[in-house]
Amino acid sequence: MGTAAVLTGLGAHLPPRRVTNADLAERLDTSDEWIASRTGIRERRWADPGVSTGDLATEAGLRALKSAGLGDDARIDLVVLATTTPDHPCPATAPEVASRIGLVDAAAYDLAAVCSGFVYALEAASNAIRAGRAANALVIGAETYSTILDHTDRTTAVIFGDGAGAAVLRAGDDTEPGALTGFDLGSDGTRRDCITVPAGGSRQRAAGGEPAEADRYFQMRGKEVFTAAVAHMTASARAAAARAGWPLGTVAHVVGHQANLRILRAVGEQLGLDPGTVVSNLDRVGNTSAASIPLALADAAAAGRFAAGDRVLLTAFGGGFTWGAAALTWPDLAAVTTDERSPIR
Amino acid sequence: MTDTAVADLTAFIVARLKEKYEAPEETAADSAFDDLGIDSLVLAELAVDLTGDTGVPVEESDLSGAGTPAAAAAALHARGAAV
Repeated sequence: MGTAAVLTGLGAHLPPRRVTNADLAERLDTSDEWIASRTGIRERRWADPGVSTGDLATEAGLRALKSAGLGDDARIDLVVLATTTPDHPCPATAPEVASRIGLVDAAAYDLAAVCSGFVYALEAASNAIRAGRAANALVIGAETYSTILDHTDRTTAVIFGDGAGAAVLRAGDDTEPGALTGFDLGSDGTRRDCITVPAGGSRQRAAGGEPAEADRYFQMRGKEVFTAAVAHMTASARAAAARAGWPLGTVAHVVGHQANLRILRAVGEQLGLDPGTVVSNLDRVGNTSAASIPLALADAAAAGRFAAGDRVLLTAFGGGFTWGAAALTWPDLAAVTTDERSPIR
Repeated sequence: MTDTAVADLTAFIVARLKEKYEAPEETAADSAFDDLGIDSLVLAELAVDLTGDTGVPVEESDLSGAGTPAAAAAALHARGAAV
């Protein structure tokens, strides 16, 4: 037995505006069949004008606290918000989210690892808990990719959606349901140009002048990303399982970053696992980057798909390149509602 | 020996395209990938399969650049890939 971070609550929030493949086909040279066959995506949610990443994160965080049985007087020591689309370059979005949730004096920071961000944030919060620096933590993945997409680029505009998911962790022991018992993280900065928003940071500003219009928006080299994503998600999942002492055959569910259904299937195949272990909700939400794993977890939990004690492998890959995986024993969670609407404070 | 190894790798690629990725039955060693009616992600998926089955990292561009199963097999064999 040892100390571990234990998952005790999950929350999810999707903006209400549904955008179907047919909606996109009205203004892009694409079709429902093209998008669905290549990505597995049927629709995604995009935030309405005026709604930011922090707005979505706040709602997901509130729902995660409720799922954990924590009320308005909850004390949380640490808030980590994984996002690629913060509300502004400065300050970080997490302090405002913590305050809006009512978490007074919590340590709060943003974490940038693109689509691997949620797993990176889980690892950071888990480390803080295991080191005794925090008794509990709120880990949020939230994105509004609709604000960084080039909506005329049919290769990226059809893939990404907006949303937020959150998890509450507390100190516990590594033998109880909900325990996070193995992590693996990595990166390869030589591949930084494969997934990028080139402008808006010091590299572009230091160069002077106005950036090219395309450089303000998200760019991705899809085929290179496909093979790298499968390779790293597979290897990282194996490493996390090994650290947890889990033979791969004992894994009940693989919750991968919801990048593309064909990537998720290939990862399942490379791991030698039954296709039924691969969890996906991207037909309804698209690729929500750092929000995708908590959204998929909340969706599976709401559907009653997982049982307490099930071995769940989380595995992610994203810009940087970054990748990471975590071994999670499924907790005995109260009901999680993913689409419930409540007013944002 | 080399010829046999390249032929085995070529046959592996052709068989995989037909069995897993619904390439036409008449797909052959010298069929152009572009003419098989497969979508743009299939070569990336095939690259993943070949990486797993040969232990040599294969990229989509290795396959699309070669153009045919036989040319891809020869290029990958030169890098040490075998099935």
